[in-house]
Amino acid sequence: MKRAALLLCLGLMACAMHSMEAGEDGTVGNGVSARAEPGFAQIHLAGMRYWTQHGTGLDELAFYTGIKDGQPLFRTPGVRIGEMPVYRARMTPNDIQDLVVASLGKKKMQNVRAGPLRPCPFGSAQGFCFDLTLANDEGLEMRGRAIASARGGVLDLLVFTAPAQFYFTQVSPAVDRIFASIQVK
Amino acid sequence: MLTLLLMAGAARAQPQADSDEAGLAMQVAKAEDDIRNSAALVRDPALNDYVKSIVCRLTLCAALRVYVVEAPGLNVLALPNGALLVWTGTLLRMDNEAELAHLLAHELAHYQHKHSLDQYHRMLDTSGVVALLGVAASGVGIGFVSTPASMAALGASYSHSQSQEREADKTGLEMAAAAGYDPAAAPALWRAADADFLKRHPSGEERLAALQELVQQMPARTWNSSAALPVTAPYLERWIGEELRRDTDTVALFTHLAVSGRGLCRYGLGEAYRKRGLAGDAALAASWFRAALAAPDAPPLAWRGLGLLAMQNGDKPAARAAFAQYRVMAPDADDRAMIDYYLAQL
Amino acid sequence: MDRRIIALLFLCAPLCACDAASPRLADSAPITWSGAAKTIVLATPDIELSELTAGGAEAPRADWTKSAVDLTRANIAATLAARGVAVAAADTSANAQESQLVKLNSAVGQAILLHLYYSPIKLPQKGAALDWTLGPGVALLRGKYHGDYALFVHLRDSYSSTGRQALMGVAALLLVPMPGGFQSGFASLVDLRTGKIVWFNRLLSVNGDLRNADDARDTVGELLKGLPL
Repeated sequence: MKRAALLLCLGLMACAMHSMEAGEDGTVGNGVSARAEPGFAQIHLAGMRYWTQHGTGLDELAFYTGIKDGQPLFRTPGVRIGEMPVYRARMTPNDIQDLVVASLGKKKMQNVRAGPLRPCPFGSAQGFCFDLTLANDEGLEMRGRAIASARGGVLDLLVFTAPAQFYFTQVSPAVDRIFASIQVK
Repeated sequence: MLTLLLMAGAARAQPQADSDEAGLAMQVAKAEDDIRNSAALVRDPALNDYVKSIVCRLTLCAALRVYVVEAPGLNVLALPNGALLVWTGTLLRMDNEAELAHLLAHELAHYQHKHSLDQYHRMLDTSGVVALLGVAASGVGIGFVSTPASMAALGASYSHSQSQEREADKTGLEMAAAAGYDPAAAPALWRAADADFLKRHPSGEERLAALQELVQQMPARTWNSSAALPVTAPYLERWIGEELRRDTDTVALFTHLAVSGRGLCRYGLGEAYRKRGLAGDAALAASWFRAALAAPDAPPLAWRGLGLLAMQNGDKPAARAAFAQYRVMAPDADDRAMIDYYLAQL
Repeated sequence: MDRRIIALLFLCAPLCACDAASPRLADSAPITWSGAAKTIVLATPDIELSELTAGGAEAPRADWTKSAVDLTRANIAATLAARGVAVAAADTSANAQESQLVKLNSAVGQAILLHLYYSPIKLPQKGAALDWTLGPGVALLRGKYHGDYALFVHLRDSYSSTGRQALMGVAALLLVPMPGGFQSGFASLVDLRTGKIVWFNRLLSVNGDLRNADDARDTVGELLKGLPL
């Protein structure tokens, strides 16, 4: 029992975390890469991958790539896989915006509102983007920005969230540059 | 009997500092603090006053606080300290004021009978206990009750027994009838209850039958006409959107709502079918979108629904026509840039 | 993540390179006062104490919590008065904007605990430095209560926030197993002219007990260790 605990502990401690060099091309899955901006660290743990400057729970740029028909955007502790809303290849961008709102709600984000929905370049592919307002589960008001592209029935999505006070305004220009740097294979 | 209960509700002695009741009181006071500051509250005075006015017709309401929580789903929760939470999903589902009044009366009856305290005691004494403000389910401690989900979890800890339900049915019915609301609305509203709500208010056929019997025993008289809920109209589109995003099968809910004949509700049913996407759903979606457009309050969203449906089915001309109509009818739509893009691509 | 996993992780706690309670000071952030009077704003202490019942549930204790909040306020005021600093008690839970600042401090505090104290996941760009801020929005506290700094205290049995859920197994290490219960907390001192957190401390004391005057005085002393006032 103690041994299992030890291994579990060591495994968790081996969570991959490293700082991104400015200009470094981070491959974030499904052939999608984005150029890092100075000051970001990448955290890759338990299937979640995100970039942050100030730390978990503050500014988080999350990557959800290679989502196939029938799959949820992410897994979240405490929510059974069957309870998560899933992506469907037939979804329109309007539906995918709704999917993001519903999924964030399962992650205990609340009062999630999205819009305006608009076309945005996703590297050389055509994608779409929208803004977010939401609150975390302690009620802290947050803002966000999402960009996505569905190609061949597979969805790639980047979602940035940060506290509305100070953090969103401070980090979002860098996030906009990261979005603009996206490349797809 | 009813009067005595009302008085008991109005004047509660302070519980002993180290008692479970005091612990519950602290937990609940803290929850209300969080709720009061919650981003999920609807603060519109018209909506709040309307709900409060019904409560005041039902019972002495000076000591009660009403909170309207913006979230889908049917839910209403009276905290043991006199805070009454009403979900906007509830307001969407109630066909008329009488149904809403009966639902509120039922919950107020639980409150006046102090059922929650009994349940709380029972819960503390049981080993392997479940939700206490979301504790066991997600392994977290007593968290903030500022999200509709945590408020619902709070409600889950006050689940009621069958005998408490019968008691609340009887008291609630008398309360609403005394205020002039048609008793026949009481059994009707339970049909709107969804699985989550029924978990807290176990409702078998037996219970509905008992309720029907009580209704039949009510003295015959002229009841106030059951007007539809007036102040909710501006919110309909938003609340419908929230239900549709829930990713549960909303066809049953919107089938019921569409009976009203309102364009927005018919649109909702169209979207429910379009999102569900089972065999045959596309055709049903299209027919309900068209039915929505035939209603007096033809919502532009129905054009968008037709456009998205046609686009998904590869019918480019139909999609173009529908999106073009949507742009004309809703020139300031939030997603107009995306629709323009669809039009350019089709 | 269920409690069994959290419990397993508690067994790991001594193995991890976790820093024991050590207060942190922001680099080059000397305490300065804008006038002759030294006043700090004390946000409503965010405290909740409960006990484990025989049935295994957590039952909040009204008496314990009220004592804890009152004693914390009193001890902080007394400690600071002895240093010539006045305390303006703010009722931050009564105001939505002030409440947001407390929530922001809670989120920032949890990031600090995770990345500064738990070394395997330090943020490379911040390293071992206390370099966080609540932003210029803190000016509203300064305007209303006229203090140059604000002190925030958070003490609860566990934290439920979302971003932390991915790292919840690791975050569980923030909880210190105590005989019959858990306790974790932190305090921060914020410069209301800049929003910068100039001092931060994690409470990690097995004997910390806010239920009675003597122990509360010791616990508050632990909590305020290294406070540069």
